[in-house]
Amino acid sequence: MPPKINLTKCDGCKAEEEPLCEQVCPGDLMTLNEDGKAMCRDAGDCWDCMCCTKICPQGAIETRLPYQLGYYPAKLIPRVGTNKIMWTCVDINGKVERFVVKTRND
Amino acid sequence: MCADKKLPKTIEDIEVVVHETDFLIIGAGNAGCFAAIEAKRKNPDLKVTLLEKAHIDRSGCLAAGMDAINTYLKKGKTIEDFIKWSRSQAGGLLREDLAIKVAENLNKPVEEWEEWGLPIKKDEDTEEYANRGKWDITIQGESMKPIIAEKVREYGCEVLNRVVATNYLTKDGRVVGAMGFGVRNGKMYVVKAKATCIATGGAAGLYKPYTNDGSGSHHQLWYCPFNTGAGYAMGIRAGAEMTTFEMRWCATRTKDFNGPIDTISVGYGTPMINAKGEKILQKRYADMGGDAAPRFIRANAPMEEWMEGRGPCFVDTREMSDEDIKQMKTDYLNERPSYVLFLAARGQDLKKEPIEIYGNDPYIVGGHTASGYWLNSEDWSTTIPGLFACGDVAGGVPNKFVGGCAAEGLLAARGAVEYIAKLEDEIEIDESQIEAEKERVYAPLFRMINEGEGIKPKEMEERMQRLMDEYAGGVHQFFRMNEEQLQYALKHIKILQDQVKYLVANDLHELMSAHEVIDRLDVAEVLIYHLMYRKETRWPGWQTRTDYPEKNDQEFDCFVNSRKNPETGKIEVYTREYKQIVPGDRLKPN
Amino acid sequence: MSKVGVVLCRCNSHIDSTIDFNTLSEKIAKNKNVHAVIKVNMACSPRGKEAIAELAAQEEVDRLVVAACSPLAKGAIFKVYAADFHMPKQHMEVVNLREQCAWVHDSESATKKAVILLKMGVARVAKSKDVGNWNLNCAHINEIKCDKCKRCVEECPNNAISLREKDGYPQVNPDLCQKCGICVGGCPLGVISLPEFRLEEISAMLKPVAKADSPAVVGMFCEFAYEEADVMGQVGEKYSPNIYIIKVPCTGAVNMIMVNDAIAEGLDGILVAGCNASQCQRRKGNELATCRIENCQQSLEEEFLEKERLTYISLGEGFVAPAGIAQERCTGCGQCLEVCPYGAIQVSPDGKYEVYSSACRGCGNCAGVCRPGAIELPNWSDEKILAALDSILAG
Repeated sequence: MPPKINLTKCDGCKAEEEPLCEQVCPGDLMTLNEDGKAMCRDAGDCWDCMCCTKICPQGAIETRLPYQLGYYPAKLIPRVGTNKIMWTCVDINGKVERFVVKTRND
Repeated sequence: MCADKKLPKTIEDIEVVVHETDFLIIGAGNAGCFAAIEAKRKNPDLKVTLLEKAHIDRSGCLAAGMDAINTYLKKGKTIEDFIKWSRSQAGGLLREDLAIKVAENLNKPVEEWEEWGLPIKKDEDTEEYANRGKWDITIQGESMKPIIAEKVREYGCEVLNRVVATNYLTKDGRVVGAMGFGVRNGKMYVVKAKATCIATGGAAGLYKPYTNDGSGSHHQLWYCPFNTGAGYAMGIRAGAEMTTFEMRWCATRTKDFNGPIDTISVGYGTPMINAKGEKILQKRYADMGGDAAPRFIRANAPMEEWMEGRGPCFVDTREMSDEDIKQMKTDYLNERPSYVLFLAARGQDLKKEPIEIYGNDPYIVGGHTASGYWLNSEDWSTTIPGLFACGDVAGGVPNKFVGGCAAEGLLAARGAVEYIAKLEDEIEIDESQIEAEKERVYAPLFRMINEGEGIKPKEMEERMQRLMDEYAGGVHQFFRMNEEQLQYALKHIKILQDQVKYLVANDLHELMSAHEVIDRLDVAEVLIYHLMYRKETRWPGWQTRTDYPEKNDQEFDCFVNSRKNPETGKIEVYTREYKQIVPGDRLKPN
Repeated sequence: MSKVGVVLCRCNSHIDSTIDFNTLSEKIAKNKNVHAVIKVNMACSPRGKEAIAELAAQEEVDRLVVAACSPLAKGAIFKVYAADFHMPKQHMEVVNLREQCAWVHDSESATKKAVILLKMGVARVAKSKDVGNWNLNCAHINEIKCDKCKRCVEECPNNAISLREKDGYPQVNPDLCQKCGICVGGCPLGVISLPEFRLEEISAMLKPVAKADSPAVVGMFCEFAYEEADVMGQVGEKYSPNIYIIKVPCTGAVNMIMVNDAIAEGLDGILVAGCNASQCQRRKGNELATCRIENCQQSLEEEFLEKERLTYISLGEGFVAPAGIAQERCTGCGQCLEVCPYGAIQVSPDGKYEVYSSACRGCGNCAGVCRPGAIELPNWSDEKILAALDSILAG
């Protein structure tokens, strides 16, 4: 749930007033910190809808589950195309699975 | 951060922005967007404004997408078939007049959505929508929200993102718009409108979810945790009539993650089993239809098994083929992608370990049950003139789901457009309402500035959630409640409502949280009244009265409605007659 | 549905002596978007034009694909035909079967590759749209989808994009826009297009590549790199047929969303070819492209994909021969200094006009205004592209 930000990749959306993650979050949870990088105000309030993860043009956001629910270090990474998304899922045993999901008609 | 600069320090600092529009839609979710589009289609000259507390592209329940439309009339199925099925699933209680109109409009929004870009799974041979279940079709809905958001903008509707609606504007018993505040800019918004449609969705977070143990999983809910019942609360405060709040949506969900289960059970026909491997529905509920038993039975079954010591319960995925498992995960990626992460975070091999299921914390959701505003089937208006409702916030039609909510958007828009056409006088508002609302809305901010201490919204939310969970039939109580518990719950909800004056907020986001709690308290209060009034158990699981465990058709084969008197603040609860239109046994699907 | 007319040009046997036109026309005729396939001897000749005109005049045909030489060779002429046929430019695609196919591969590979290249062309025009009232001279921002993140405003090298006062949406100034496509490449939501360069079209072109024999690599070559690839054909330098080249206005126009589509479709690699960072004709396109690509490569590794699958290669490494001013012809008019966009022309202490070689990007603006013809431009180097191609395709 807590979106984790890769501070090297994040460019604060060129430090414009509202970065894309802040624009899109349904819970008003993403914003910029004092260094102009993205941060989640309250990790516990995240619904893990992954909208921020999908929209970040730098791929700087990773969605993680709270430890209460899932073990470390599984990953689910979206790669957003024009009308499809390729998801790469890595489980805690290192098994890699890929899925291609169509999102719009051709 | 930059929000601090926008924080008003005194009441004079507050900038009031006034908008005037013809048709105001509060909530730009599924239903709200369809209402906007339909209004513009009916009358392109109308000014249509949407108020949305998040961003229209990804707001509400469809934020991450959806993998199925659960109400679509396929070839060979009639409207009567639908009513009979829906009625039986709802324990025989629904507004047949409303449901018929919804059923008439079910297919159109889905087909339009496809035209606009939503991929829908088709049968290879017939090119028709592929069957997932009786009324279900599979969609790849990850982008369905941006798709309709684009249409809303294309039709020229005005969208006010990041504005939290707080109360209606009323004049002479009519709703003439709404007030709210900007969660990013701190301004107060006053929107005057000839007709208003409420489409804010249902209410989650009234009850404590079982994963809310304070370590970061506070919002691990099935329903959208940002749908906090604002629409219900605003209506309650304005004196609108509400119906059937006691028909709570308590469902079977994936354990811990609290995610959707229909994807697996309906989509891939996996049976529900208990710890002993017994097929629960077939074994214990054969007389209620077994696998086809009404929803509340299927919802409650795993909880009953747990109570009887036969838990944990599962949906048995061990016989699924590799392709089906991959396809199922792909379906999940369309609506709750992090569920795939959840399975990965457990290293779960579904062929060896089935998916565990459990009940969820109760929600009030008009799209699944009959809870919500009491509507007029002529024009989808509520009991307050000038106010229409659609989607999860509107009541009377259970089993609407995404398709039905979209259909209601169309119906409410048509009603509103006609209403606007007949209006003769200008919209007048009561300025004193704006002043009063300003004080009410910004109070927590100013309290923090002036007093420096008080109750944080999170604290009050936690208190309310545990209270409801323990005394009003939450998941830890296996959804059970009795008169004494409910009285206790009501007493403390009222104390909490009184304590609202001590709420503090440090920034605009916390101010929004404060209002979310305030709205939830108002909804919870009405909910408890409903739960107390229905002295029977009509839907075990959704509404289990341990002191009245049987159904009492003599007294309660009808709707339980309520209305808060805006002058006295008193909540009146009463019944309304059931009106059957489609003949047949109301408890049987055919 | 769009119906495409396909023209196969023999180029007086230059093309069809290597590529089997029968196989080609058979295969492409099966495509659901193709209405008719004709063969002409020389598309650039008056006879050729007649035949194409006849095809275009057919009621059902509303798109054209001309498979002939390079769009940078005679191919440019066919775009002019489009105007004569009253066909919007973006509805016609020139497929390079000569410099980048027949001249560089053996017959069997060339024919197979030609089929894929043709399918790519057909896919592209089938996806092209009637742009209605778009201004054809500049980029177009789809406000229905725009999120106002303002990245395009920040990244445009010509400051051609600014925010509209009334609603904060970015708008393009057609007088400043150079149609370099850098905004197209940078937009995180992919809502910006050029009339002839749209994300959806490029993505549609990737599908046929996915069906080609593995390994299948798509090349996104900027106009200058594309020219270099043509040179390979002109000198008959053969290379592996596994690369399918798409011409892009600038490497800065390559949006990572296209890369994502390519990977999701199952392509084995994406090769982005352009100029060296300091030599970009569009001023910043390459810097931005390399940044985005580095970022994307990092993500690829996190996803357990090899980062080499997305590679940027540049022409010239560091030093590029700058323009030269022949002092004996220079009249000292100073026009070159006026027009140089990079400040690469200086006046030496003794009054001579000289090129500051580190800043020169060989754009040629100076040569263009020099009346006495005193300025010369260097050629590009094609050894680099050869070597890089070989190494990526060997992998």
